[in-house]
Amino acid sequence: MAIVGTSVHRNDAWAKARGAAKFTGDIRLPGMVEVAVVRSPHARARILEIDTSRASQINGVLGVFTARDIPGKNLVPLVFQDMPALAMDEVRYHGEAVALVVGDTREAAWAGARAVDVKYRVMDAILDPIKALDKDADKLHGNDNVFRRWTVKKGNVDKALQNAHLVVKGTYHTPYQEHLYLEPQSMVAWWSDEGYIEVHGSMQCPFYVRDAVAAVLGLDLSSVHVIQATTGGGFGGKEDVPSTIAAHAALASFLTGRPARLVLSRDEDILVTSKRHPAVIEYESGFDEQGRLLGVKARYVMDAGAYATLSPIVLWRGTMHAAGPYRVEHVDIEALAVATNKVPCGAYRGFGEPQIHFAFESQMDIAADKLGIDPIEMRLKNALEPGDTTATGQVLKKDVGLVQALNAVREASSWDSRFETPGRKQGTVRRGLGVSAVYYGVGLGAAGQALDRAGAFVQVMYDGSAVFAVGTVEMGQGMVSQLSQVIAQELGVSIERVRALPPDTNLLPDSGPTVASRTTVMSGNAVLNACARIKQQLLEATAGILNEPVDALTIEPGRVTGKNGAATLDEVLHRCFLERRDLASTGWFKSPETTWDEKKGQGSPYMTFAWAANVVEVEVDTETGVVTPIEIWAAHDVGKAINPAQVRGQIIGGSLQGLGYGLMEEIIHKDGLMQNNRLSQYIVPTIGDAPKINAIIIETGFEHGPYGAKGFGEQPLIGIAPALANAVYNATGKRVKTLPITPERLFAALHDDKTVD
Amino acid sequence: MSEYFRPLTLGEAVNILADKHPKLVAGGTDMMVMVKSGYRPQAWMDLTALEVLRGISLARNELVIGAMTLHAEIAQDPLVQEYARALADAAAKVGSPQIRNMGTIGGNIANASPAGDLLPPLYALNARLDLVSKSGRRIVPVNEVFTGPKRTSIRADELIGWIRVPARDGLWSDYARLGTRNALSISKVGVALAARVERAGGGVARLRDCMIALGSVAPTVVYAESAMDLLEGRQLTGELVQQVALAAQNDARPIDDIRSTAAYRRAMVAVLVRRLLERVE
Repeated sequence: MAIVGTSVHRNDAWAKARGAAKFTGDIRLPGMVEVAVVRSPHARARILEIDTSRASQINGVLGVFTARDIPGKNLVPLVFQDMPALAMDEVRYHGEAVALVVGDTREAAWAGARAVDVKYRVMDAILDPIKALDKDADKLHGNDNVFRRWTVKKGNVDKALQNAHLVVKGTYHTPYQEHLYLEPQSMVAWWSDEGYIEVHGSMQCPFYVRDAVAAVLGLDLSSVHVIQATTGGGFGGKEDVPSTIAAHAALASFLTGRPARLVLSRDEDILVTSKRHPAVIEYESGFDEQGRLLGVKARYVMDAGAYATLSPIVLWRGTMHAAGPYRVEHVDIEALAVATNKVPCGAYRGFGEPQIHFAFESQMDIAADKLGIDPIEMRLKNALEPGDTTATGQVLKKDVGLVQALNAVREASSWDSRFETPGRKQGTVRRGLGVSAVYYGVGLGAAGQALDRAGAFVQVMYDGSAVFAVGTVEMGQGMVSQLSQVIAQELGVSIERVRALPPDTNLLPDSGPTVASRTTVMSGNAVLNACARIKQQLLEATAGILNEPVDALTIEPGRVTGKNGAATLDEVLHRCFLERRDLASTGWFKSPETTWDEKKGQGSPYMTFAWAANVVEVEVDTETGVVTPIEIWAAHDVGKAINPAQVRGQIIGGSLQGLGYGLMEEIIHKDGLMQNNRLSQYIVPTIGDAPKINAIIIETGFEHGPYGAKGFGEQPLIGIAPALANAVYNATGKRVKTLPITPERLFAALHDDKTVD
Repeated sequence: MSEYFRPLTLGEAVNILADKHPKLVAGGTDMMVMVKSGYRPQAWMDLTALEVLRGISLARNELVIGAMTLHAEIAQDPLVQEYARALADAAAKVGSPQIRNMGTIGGNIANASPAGDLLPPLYALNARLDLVSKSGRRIVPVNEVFTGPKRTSIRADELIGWIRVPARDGLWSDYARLGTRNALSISKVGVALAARVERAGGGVARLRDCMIALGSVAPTVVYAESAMDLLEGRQLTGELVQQVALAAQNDARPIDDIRSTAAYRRAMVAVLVRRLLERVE
């Protein structure tokens, strides 16, 4: 009986459902103190003086610390080395950390933080990324405010567009998106006078946290012991930010000699933690009369915020995907991440892809409409298929499920009998259908290849139970269950008796970050690698019991079978014990080679791609501009579903996040100050806004994936906003090129009788 | 540290009010948000033990609603549904089930948010507040209580005891609102309408004593007075409905804020007023 491919229950569900799981906020250590952070009230200002005298006198305040107290480097190391742990001379965004206050209680620490007097001289802030690119704009970074620029080049676009039957031009604006994980950022750090520090907390990337703590305290990497605590959601928001939170907690512990905890309040978390980059995208696409895509020219500008953090690589992923999942011979993409005096943006499920998908999938829809071609047919004409070459020159292998995905949503949504030509509908309330095609490069890709490796440790006990640990984390996405399925499948142990240990930076090799939908492939293969060595031991022991050669033996649940007989797992394990066999093993996996030639703007950036198609049906109230999503059909090529229920869960959750992005989520700034950093003001969908979501799984089998699986966890979010916007167009005849499609925005489009740009 | 009182009787409560001028807390759904932001009054008075202020009854053609009655109770109450449907509708649309099971009608009034969902129905239904203090009771029309956003003329030694809503047979009332999402949302616009419907010989309806109250479009709830005047006693034709909707729009004084824009709110007043009038049976 196969365990891989079945919807076993999550093995962390019971503990989480009854509140037994210990999150960082539940950790209590003897003598533990609390940390509060003094934050900039300005978008940009010079720090003239920090007066801590009043704060220090508050009852329960144990210390007030600034950049001058940092024993190591004042640095949170990420892609660039540009972000301080605590601002030194200048604050560069609303909410930037200026000082730490340590208190006996959270109340004392917060009272102390309010009492720190910081004198600022307010400076003119740079708030608009397009203006930041002006030659004479004030400079926040380098000589042009550009953190990073990437290009993709192929063929001769200008000529292709000149010769095209139809050229579609559009400018698209996309908003910030806040992760709103259930658990706010939290860390506990515990300095030992023996010369090492232990850090427990909510995180996606224990090895990034380790690097940051080592930098600020000036310690060896081996003296920083990071252990992930149960983590209540990440979505990319716990990729880079925990490094800063841990640096603050570690400084507080180091400087007071007490275990120190920092838990951000929700308002603080929304204010200061990374978000999805807002973007401005200018896009031109050329088509022939049959609707074939001839050329793509795009300029993709991201508002990166005050520090580079992950922007260079978020931009890279967006750039790699900017031409869409289509065959196209002529391509010219330029992408820029630009510095502004706003919150540093970083990773959020999709990582630079949702913005550009919104642009090219709107373009595709406009072209289909102008050419009188059915929107799904339009995509099928151009869809990448096995053996095709992508815009960057990557030759695709067999696992390209885009055509299947498009056909699947076409059939499931009864598209052919229900799709009506756009803009001809009547009545106050109108229904519409929209489609999107999506692709997602699995793993870190060529830009992050050095980090694309993963380690594992697996041990089978003599009673038939097993433990394992990997260097990637469980953050709610279901990693532990999937890897437990792999171990149960490979070693015949009962899945109920497989236990996961938390990632630990001292006991596991640096496995890179838990991002880029890479865990199933990377840690899955590392676990397989560890299991292979243990499996060999089990088989050799069984060979002795059954008197059969190793290659005649098969591991099944609870037993090992040969041609003539079978041994129970208990018998096999007893034999292993007597024979002193090693049933513990590490495992290792590094991703297949990927390439990127920056000069040419070409390469094979990803080990493979996941593919998807979405159909969204909406109902639009044309008098109020309110868009009600009615139903979503989402088909995803995941290679192989190790746990189909979890795959469906990812599709449903990601689709809902995509609806939030498309319909309601936005951050509002006034003079560079964030206005809506509260749960009542930053609006995300609730279950009351959720339509019926139909998840369809397509399995094409990835040659390097465990059992053929690819990563795809981010993909469900990416294509929902464009399908939604296309559905709104289908219902109303109005093309909205700015997200989110709020009632206010759509009302203006419907009643001002012009397209909103 | 704040002092904390939890009186068991109304007499005890008014004495504490007179002596300490405490901040009152009922369900806490608004107050706890302020506390989280650092608000610390000298003294708190927790009203949750005042059983006398809970419940709904019908007496002398008035619905008498205790100030500590929960939104969930108001939404489901047959008397409120019969005599003040707009109020039941509004209570059903407040926040989420969790908030409706904690928040009270008295708290919604005392918080005096221009977006408070129960306020437009109370205005439209000519509700009166029964205010209690050590020096006695006074009964005040609800529309005289609010002086601005988060401000009322309720004295520091007074608490809201009961809300009195006229219960008249044949009174039509209804509430419509637009929020930022389908649950857990604060209104961008809320409109309540109450009127007696006359239908001579089964013909076109006429509305008498019509009241239209607008929420979230001015510093306090306001009446759409010109719209009310236009409607009074006239045949409710499609043309009149259009005129009234436009008039109501001009009675609103909305602003741009983080939830919506003035232009959108103004336009939506017209849409909601028209939709409410179209629902009149």
